[in-house]
Amino acid sequence: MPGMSRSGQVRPNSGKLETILNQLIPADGRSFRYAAWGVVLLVLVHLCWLQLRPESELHQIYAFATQSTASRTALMQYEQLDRIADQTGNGNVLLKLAGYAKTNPVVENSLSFVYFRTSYALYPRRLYVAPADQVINNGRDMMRIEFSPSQQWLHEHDVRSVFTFGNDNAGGETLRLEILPPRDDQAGMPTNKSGGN
Amino acid sequence: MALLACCLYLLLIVLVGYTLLSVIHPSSRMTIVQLIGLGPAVGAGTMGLLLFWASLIGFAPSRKVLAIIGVLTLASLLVMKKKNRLAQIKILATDWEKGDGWIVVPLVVTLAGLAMIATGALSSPLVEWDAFAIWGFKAKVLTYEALRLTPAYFHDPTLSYSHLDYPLMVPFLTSGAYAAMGTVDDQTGKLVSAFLDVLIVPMVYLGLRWKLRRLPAACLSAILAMLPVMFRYAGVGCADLLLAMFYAGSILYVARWIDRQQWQDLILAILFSAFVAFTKNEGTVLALMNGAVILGFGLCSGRRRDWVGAAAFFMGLLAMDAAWLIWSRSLPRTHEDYGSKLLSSALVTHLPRLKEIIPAMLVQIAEFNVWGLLWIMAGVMALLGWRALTRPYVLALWILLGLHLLSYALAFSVTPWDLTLLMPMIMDRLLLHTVPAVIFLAGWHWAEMGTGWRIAESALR
Repeated sequence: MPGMSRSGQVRPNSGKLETILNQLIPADGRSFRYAAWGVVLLVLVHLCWLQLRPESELHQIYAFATQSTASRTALMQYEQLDRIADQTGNGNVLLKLAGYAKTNPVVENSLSFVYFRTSYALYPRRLYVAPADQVINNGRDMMRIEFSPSQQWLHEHDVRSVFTFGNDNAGGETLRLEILPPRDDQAGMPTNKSGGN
Repeated sequence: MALLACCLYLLLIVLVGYTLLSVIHPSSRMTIVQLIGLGPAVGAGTMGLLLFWASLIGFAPSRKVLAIIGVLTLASLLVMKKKNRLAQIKILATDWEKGDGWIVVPLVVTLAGLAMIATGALSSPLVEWDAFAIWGFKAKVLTYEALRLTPAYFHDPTLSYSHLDYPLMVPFLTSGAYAAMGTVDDQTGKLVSAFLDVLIVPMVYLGLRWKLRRLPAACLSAILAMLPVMFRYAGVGCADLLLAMFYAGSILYVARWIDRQQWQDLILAILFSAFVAFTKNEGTVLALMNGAVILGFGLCSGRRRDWVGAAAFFMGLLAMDAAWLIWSRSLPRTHEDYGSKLLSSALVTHLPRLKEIIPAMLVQIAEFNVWGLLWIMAGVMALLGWRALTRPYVLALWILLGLHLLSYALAFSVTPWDLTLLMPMIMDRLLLHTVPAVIFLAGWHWAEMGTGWRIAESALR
């Protein structure tokens, strides 16, 4: 019971508080309940109305469910990286930065996406972008490290392909996958496959 | 076939939950909503912890591990059935009241919302950055390797972006689905995410029904199901809605314990708080806040039972999460590490940042495209049903909500991220964790309108 302790005695302070508040908000319970219903129905109707807008979540979900052109475009970059991960065979992969990608902060976000997504798609195989002791939290960290491992390091870490992320001459971002020759065939030429975008 | 295996896995989760509820409430009568809301929620948290413990002793999630859990669950159910201790299922909690026929309207709205979430989840693979970079990645690691010999992933700083120290509830639940399917199929695996995320709706309904009639409780639940922020994050494979769902359970049973001092409520409060702490790092803080509030109200009441309850809460929480706390102690904190920062002098030096953070939080809750009019509604309900403030359990929930918001504001103040980038990116997701408390408060204040007036008057006489 409000204003009462569990032993059934009225607590003096809470009773005083209620008396003060009763004077400040002098409406009966029924009108309060009607007001509450009005507010709740208004909120519910407003939420339903929000979903009728063309940019609403309902429309986005519908676009994905029906595989509209817009949703397929949105998924394309994910599928491209997943496909590249599939093309790398059984070994691990080295992520190399080329051109502007080594220094241009504009590509930080794209670089993060490429590293995060491809690492996820490849696991339990690995995508190396830095020595084992370096902390990578974002694209800037990868740019700062400028990782360029030796052939021996690549062999030790079972790296069988190189994934190059860089800018082309027109300023776009490109992805190239290069499958390294088998270890016992050092004289062989690398095979180029393009992930392209 | 993969979809069928995934559905069987979800059925196992429901059975585990039903078994535990029957243990906690032997021979009780359980409503359909409790069965489809509370049962899977308890089952999911328990399954996550069981898979974690099994992995610690060397068994990565597999069909064999799931079969053992299934056999043990069925055996427990059989024993309880024999002893007549199984919870009985009934259709309605109370008799049908006048006007309850209108419940079909919020029910249709809720089901439409949940169907949208399920459709959205199943129509694409993991595409949310956090979903694949953090949670999905960990799920893959845990599928391939047990934790007995800590996988190299957990000590690899080049994967620091995936937050090596984050708790493993979502990854283990997803990994369990992969084990059931026999393959890593993240698109089908999202069914688990969608199923668990939408459990927040029946969980909140249960909390509302504790004090409200059927129709208003259904309307408030429909509001939750239709929130744009729900569509944004439900079923995407992140941990936020699962955290919010477990948190809803924890605060509901903390409030019930404060109100009624029933041991069953305390046990569920402990279980849900332990699940919250194993879902996200902020969950540990939320679980401790639950304990602090139980302790605070226990101290105020001065009764022995309340004291013992508070001690039992902390001991139970520690017992359930001890393995995680010990195992995760050695993980590298190479990124955010809010725990250490909030306990260091950095907290004091960064306090001025609150001047930037609090207004940003206020601006966020006024985003009608994200929240609708939810926050305004909660304020209006609190005002109209102000008499509820004299109820200890309502007061407790207000305190929990205040502490919750304060803890997030303080975490923002010590973040290593650029605040101007971080806040617009994750503020809606963090405030989503508080939504169960906000809706409970709206409902519990609503329950005090009218009836509360009469009670208060009679108490003063």
